[in-house]
Amino acid sequence: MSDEILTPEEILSRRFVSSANSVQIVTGFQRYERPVYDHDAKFAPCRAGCPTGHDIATALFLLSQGRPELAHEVFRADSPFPAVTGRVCYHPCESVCNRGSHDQPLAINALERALAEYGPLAPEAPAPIQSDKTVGVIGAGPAGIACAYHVRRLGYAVTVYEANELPGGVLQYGIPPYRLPREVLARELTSLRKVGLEFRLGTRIGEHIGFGELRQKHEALFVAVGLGRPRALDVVAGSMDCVDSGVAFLRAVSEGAAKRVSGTIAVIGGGDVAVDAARSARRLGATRVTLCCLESRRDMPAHAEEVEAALREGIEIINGVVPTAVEGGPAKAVVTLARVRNVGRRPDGSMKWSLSSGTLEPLPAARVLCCLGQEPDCQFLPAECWENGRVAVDAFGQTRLPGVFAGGDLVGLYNVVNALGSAKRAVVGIDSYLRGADSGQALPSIRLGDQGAFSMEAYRQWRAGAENLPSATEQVEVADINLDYFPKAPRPHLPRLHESQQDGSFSEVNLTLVEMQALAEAKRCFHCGLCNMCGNCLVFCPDSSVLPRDDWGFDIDLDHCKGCGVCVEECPRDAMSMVPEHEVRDDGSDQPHD
Amino acid sequence: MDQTSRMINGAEAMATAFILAGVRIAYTFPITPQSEVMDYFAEQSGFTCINADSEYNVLAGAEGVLWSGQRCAVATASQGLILMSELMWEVSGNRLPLVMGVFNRGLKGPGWCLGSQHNDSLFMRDTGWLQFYCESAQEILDMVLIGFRLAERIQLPVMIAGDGFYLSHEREEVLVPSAAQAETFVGKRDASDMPLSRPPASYGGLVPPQKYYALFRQMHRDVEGSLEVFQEVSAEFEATFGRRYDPVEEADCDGADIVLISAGTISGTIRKALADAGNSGHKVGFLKLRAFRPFPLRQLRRAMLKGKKVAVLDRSLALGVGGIFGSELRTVFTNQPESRPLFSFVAGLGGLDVTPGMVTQLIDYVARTDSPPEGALFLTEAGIEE
Repeated sequence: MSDEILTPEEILSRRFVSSANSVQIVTGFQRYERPVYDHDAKFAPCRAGCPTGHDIATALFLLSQGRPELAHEVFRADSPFPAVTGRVCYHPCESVCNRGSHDQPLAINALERALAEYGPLAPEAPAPIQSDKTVGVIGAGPAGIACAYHVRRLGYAVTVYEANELPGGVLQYGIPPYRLPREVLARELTSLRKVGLEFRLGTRIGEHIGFGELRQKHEALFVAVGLGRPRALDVVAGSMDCVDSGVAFLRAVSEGAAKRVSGTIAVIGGGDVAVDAARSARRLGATRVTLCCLESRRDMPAHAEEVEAALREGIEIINGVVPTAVEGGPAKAVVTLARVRNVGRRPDGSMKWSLSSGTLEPLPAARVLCCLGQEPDCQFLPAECWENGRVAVDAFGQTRLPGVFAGGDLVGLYNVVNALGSAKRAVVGIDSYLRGADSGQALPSIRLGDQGAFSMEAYRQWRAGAENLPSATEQVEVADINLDYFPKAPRPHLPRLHESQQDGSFSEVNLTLVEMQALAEAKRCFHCGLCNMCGNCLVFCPDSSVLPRDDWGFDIDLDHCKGCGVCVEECPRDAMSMVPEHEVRDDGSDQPHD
Repeated sequence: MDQTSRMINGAEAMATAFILAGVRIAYTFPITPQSEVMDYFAEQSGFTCINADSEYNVLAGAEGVLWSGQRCAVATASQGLILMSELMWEVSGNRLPLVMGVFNRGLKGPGWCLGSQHNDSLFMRDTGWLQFYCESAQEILDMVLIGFRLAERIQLPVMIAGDGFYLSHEREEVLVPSAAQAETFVGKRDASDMPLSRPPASYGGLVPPQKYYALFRQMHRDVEGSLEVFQEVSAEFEATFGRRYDPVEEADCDGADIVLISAGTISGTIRKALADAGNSGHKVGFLKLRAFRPFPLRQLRRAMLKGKKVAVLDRSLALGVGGIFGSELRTVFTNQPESRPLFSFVAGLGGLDVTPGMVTQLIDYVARTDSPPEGALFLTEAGIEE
């Protein structure tokens, strides 16, 4: 302080002077938490709830952007025929849709159908064969086709053995055409043949080719022959022509061989086959169709939408009853019904109940269709494979025979989408078996939730040796969604064939959403956990630290982000999270960097 | 000595000092009891008086004037000062040599208050602004001139405080230096450190923590160092104008029974009370605290140890603690081998008159009390309460 006055240099040294601009001046060191785009670590509940793990959020985003063909591809990554599942799937995804707790769940099933209809796929060349090992699939039902499809896309030659003359199983011979037009199925089968699926039709195992021979021929087998033998009604007096199984009836319907019926038709059973048979009988001219089932209306195994459609079509349903006798002549039967209580199910899937007091009017019927479920009709698998009347498998479809896998109804997973899911899991089992790998190893990288869903694309990447595959560990809940961005809006009205056109016709009842309707509904999707580049993070960032990438997504400018978290708060769909800085810092230190 | 004797109040003395210091621009906003300073600026020809929309913008505007290399006049009081508080740190942190006049006035606590109290300027205790408390209009004028020299030498802002109304509105004889004398003493502002438009640079942007720490430490050292600079400048002032301004003014402390410490206009009252008592009463020395920042710790200690007891009389109150000077002065004895009992009195809050009789009461109390209570003692006409 001896100088008269501080020199300019001395004064400058006492000020903070910087020639750097606001980009050069880094401020990120103030951050204790970091925003991350961790959508890879998150999954929507619909995806976890879908047995075959469709990436619905991504597909619906693409559809909402007017790209149904890309959405179609997203669906095809996880299952073989969206045009079919878009019609026949009972969409467990919709019941877990986050939008359901806000207003109404997305019409995912109708949208799957719409994107398949409006976004035809470009012809796909068969995937190159990358292995000298081959896979044999026994049964060309949904599970068999799904297994063959995924296995083929992984680069294995695959042959599907089918006893019937046409592939499709229940899709071909069970589900009536008013639910699944056969031209839709044919179209999907054509496209599956183009990707390299080879069918050996009219080939019954044990008759045309031996099981042992197949095991010699293929390194791995997938058995999905379904349940071929309908349970008989044990109260029928002798052999009666007018009593038939619903399965046989539906097969005749499917083949166009069913004769016109008249008078009253009694349908025994409460499952989907029963409802299909009842509605088909109605179309074939029955004046009255009465469906008698053990379960209460609420507990009927048939899907509620199908039951409602049956009621709309004038089908009468008597719940909580059991036929105690079916008597009468060759052309006419009388069904005696009794009330039941304590209805339950045995481990093998058959029903149990106890009779209740009280009598009911006998039901006279021109025909009685028995829809009491089916049993396996599969002689070639040795006894050791069976447990409680079904083939026992592990989480990846492996039976107790090395190299033999199984899925679908045969392992006790009913309905189409469950069959697709079981086949998909078996594909991981088969591929791991053929590569001599442990099928469980991939699980952390591909699993979506704890219900068995996984991403086939993630599996392909994992298999190709991709490192650092993010594990999707967090299911997005509705509490994670910023509902301020989603005004309440109803589901669209799902179009149906006018009732005047339904009578006596097997024309498809449910119609495809018109394209604009589908786009609008896809836009209603929260896209839970999916960054759809809405740009809210960029708009709200007070530090201009959100940088859009050239192609897709955003980066955080960590030199300037102060970790305020506004971006995460304003992300409508939980595609971002705040992570404590010490958890993401490269050196693992607790201290924010300078 | 070419100085003119004039009967003026402290407000005019303050305004006059700014003009003598070569200031030709003022940012103003009216607030009692400072508004008279603003009035005086407004009447000047060849002077730009800019009325801002608040005291906050008064300081922001003044900052801009300083960055441009000019001097600027700013004066305020009470609420006006605390409205500036955010920018107070910016002015000191950017080492801008602003000089501000403050006429102390009570803050709006329980209600509006116009009378004098030191809480407003003491609210700025830690901002890095240098603070000086004045006893007379003459002292205000002289300290503003000294303030400019000091501010521009140490590159820290300076606040010259006087009690509202007692000083701002009461006339007294003031010796006013000639413009030439003042210009010679204050000099021109050397603004060669001020920013140029090229190359572009930012001043006072976001500082990395290490640099922030270093700059703050430097500022602390410069506030400490400013004590020596103040003494040098004040010695030069004395040589020019014949009036001496030490950081602490001491009278009759050697061997005193009581060393009484105060600041501002109460000092005059104390002097009067002590003079009236003459040799009849106790032996009382007086310490007037002029410089509060820089804090003249050693001078205070030396003078306080000359007596047997110490009493501090504050016109301020740190709620829950006591008089603000009193609590600061306790630190004088911290970690020292020798100390003295310290009585901390609070009086005259809200401009309540502090009379010579009250000073006498205080002296009697301290004389008869061996050890002071822990907390503050409240002194009014009616008596003394803990």
